[in-house]
Amino acid sequence: MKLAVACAVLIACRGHVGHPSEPAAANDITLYRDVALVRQRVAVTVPAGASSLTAHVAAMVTGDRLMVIDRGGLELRAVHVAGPVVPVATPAPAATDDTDEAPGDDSHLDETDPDAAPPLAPPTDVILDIAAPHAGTYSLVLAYTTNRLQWDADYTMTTTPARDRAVLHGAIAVRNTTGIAFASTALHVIDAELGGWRTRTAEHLAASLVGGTPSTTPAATSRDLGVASLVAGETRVEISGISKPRGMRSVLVYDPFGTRLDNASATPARDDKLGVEPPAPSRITESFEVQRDEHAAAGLPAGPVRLLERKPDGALGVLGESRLFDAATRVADVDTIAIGTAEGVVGHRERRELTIDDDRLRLTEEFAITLDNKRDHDVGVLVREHLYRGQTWNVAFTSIEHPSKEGAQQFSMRTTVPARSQQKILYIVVYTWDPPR
Amino acid sequence: MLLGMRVVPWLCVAIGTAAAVVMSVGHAGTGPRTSITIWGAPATPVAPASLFGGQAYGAVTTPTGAMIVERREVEVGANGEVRLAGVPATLDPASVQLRSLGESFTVSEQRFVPGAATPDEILQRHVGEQVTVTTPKGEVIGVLRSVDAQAIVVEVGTGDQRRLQVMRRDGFVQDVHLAITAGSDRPSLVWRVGAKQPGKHDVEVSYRAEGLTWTTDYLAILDEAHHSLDFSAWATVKNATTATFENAELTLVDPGAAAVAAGKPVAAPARFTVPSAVKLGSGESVQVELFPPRTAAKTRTVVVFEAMADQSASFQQFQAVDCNQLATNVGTARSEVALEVDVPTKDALPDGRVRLFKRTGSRLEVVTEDPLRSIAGAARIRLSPDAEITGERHAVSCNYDEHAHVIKEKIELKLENKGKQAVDVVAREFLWRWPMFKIESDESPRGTRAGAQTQEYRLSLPGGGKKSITYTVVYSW
Repeated sequence: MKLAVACAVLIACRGHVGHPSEPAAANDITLYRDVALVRQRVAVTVPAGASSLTAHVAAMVTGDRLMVIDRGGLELRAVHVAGPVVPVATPAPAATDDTDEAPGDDSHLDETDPDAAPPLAPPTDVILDIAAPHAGTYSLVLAYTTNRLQWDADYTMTTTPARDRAVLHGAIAVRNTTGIAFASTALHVIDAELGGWRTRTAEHLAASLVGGTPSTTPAATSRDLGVASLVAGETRVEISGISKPRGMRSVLVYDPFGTRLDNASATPARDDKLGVEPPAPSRITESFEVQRDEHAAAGLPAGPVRLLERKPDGALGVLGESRLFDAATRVADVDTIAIGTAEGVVGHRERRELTIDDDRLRLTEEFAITLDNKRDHDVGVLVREHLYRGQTWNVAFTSIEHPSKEGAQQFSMRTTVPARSQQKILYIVVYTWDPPR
Repeated sequence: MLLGMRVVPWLCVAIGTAAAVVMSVGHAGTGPRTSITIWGAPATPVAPASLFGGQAYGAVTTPTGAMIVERREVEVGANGEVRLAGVPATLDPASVQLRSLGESFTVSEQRFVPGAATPDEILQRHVGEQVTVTTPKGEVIGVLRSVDAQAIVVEVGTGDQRRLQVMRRDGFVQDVHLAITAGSDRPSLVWRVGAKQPGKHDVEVSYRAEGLTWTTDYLAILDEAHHSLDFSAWATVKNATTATFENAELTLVDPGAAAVAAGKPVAAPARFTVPSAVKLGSGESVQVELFPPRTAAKTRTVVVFEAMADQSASFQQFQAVDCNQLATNVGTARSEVALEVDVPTKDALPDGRVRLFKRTGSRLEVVTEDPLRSIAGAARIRLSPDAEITGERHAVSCNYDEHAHVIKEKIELKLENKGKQAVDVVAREFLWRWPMFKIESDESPRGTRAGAQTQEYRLSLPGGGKKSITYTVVYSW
């Protein structure tokens, strides 16, 4: 015997309106760079005994990606997911498609074009065969990953004509093409790909269990964004707690390569021309250095920033653009925003030595950086160097005291170059790696 | 601030949430009964290079697909025809058996009629039947005589007025209305049987079909104190047969994918019976649990140490008789930290990935997603490589008796904990020289069999401590 019973608890398709007593956040979504982990609560009123109910989850979720995190006291007998299973009788796809992804798994969209948001699609029907010990309302929690919740962070920093303080504002834009509107959802963001985050979390857990030493490479941390509703299309969520005024000052920055050569690997790149050919640019930038509030900045995702100046008449002008909170600057004390080329001050970077010792598993590199100041007054210069060959390194020597580590592959040195003179900085970096297993 | 509030017609709201739309109440056990045995997807077996008699002559062959047994009531026509529509398109006709459950009958003929998929194929199935064709000049009613890509031929009229009307399909024919014949367009099995009387008969039909597969996924949620975890094992059954099976009693067979990949015979594949009958819809994937979930199961943290990679796959056809081969293993070891939990199975769990979460307050943090390591009665979830447990393995002695066909090898494994904290170590040793072997009684500490050619040793290593494992293995053939 089958009896169809309308489910009164829920707001569902086609305008059925219910009046649930909602908890503070019914759903929970963690946004990673590549996918989002969704914990979706399904509340249902059922009679005692066996029954089936239909829920909707994000588009293109396949059965093997769906997890039942909490059964809410129900016995769960089977979970049916209507998916695009490819019949075996269908001719095989063209030989050019050599991926082994599961049918319906559209995560490859990220690989082909990381910026391409999957199009809006209908949700996936999930039928749950359950048995309830007694009639009543139950709440299950389903979990799955989806690449249909893509996001970007962006920031503005506003200063005054005095240019001694700046106020940061930020927002995350979430594009929802899951086919589901997530009401009352606790949002978190982690500025890392899920795989990398998992590896780091597992390392820390293992270290806490057996007393090992986890990696010292600065890792992304989770940032709570509060409770929001993610409807179809784009939702902007303001990042709160970051707008305390911060000190700001003008500085010259010599950062010839930026992060573009970074090899995020435990084994260093061995190319002897890396960072040497083509030679490092000599440009030094006029920049603003803004103090970072370590507590408020914890877990903030990377994104572009515009430095704006509010003029006395109230108008806003753009001073410069840069990026904030990239992985390379994860532990930096300051953020720097370039606004133009410094006149009369240039830098030169020369590599003096490269030694690879395979027996001792060490690669040593020595650099000399010359700053040439043609101005009539002393200038302070921040020299930013990227240890681009790999993530396991040690700065064995610097001619500057108190170099500052800013991130996994980046450190900075400060010096003052007297008027119409040159200043030379030396440093030696040693990369190490583990023996092959 | 919320922007972009566009709503599409099928957009569903996940609230209080999410989205149960319709609930139906029912009980399994009514209607026809179907039992389905599905073999797990085997890894590609390593084909022996040259076997007398060829591969199919006594060599390892792993079943694939599914064996389906349906009990149905069928109608035996006056001409002895029995038709069963809606069978899988992927059915293997050679495997079909029809058996009467009541009055016995003989089968004189059996046919498998594939389903019609294209418009042309569907029209062809209705040749000889009454059709109604809509044209700009009105409706033509008659018997369909012939169809091709360009034209349709209908016999109209009766008696002297009978004639054939050929109509162009490109433009002239607007619609063709066909009488629905039950199941005529779906894949069907048709038998001619010799029954004493036509009418309803209870029969059992069994056949093998491709397109039914299952894979395993595991879910583990670690508590905040890292002492216990909830562990569940889910089989995802995918139905790509084009048929729907109601009330299917499922048995899932794990051929031991790893063993098959290594070319090893599998003595008794593990079988899992799903306790409740389920519906397997066409194109659907269904998740069922392999065993009742374990909640708050106590976990053990272990470091799994393997001194060398398993070489046994290379020595299934001939023995590794060179005593110098891999006699000493230094720097080839792998150690990894893992969480271990007991599971209620006599066999190793099927290969599959495990997703490990950790509770942090009200949140869940993702920890790992890795293949599950499993032995009989226990599951291991790998966390990360370990650098503190090191070791080396060497053969203390090795004797090859060419005439007695015996290799006797004594192995010593020295383990060291370079960390400060005591850890429980599971050392895995591969008896890789030949599948037939026995461990002699001088084994210290006592090990346990963890696989066809794998022995495991458990010991506790204090911080900075060293311990040894010794055993003698005798291979014979």
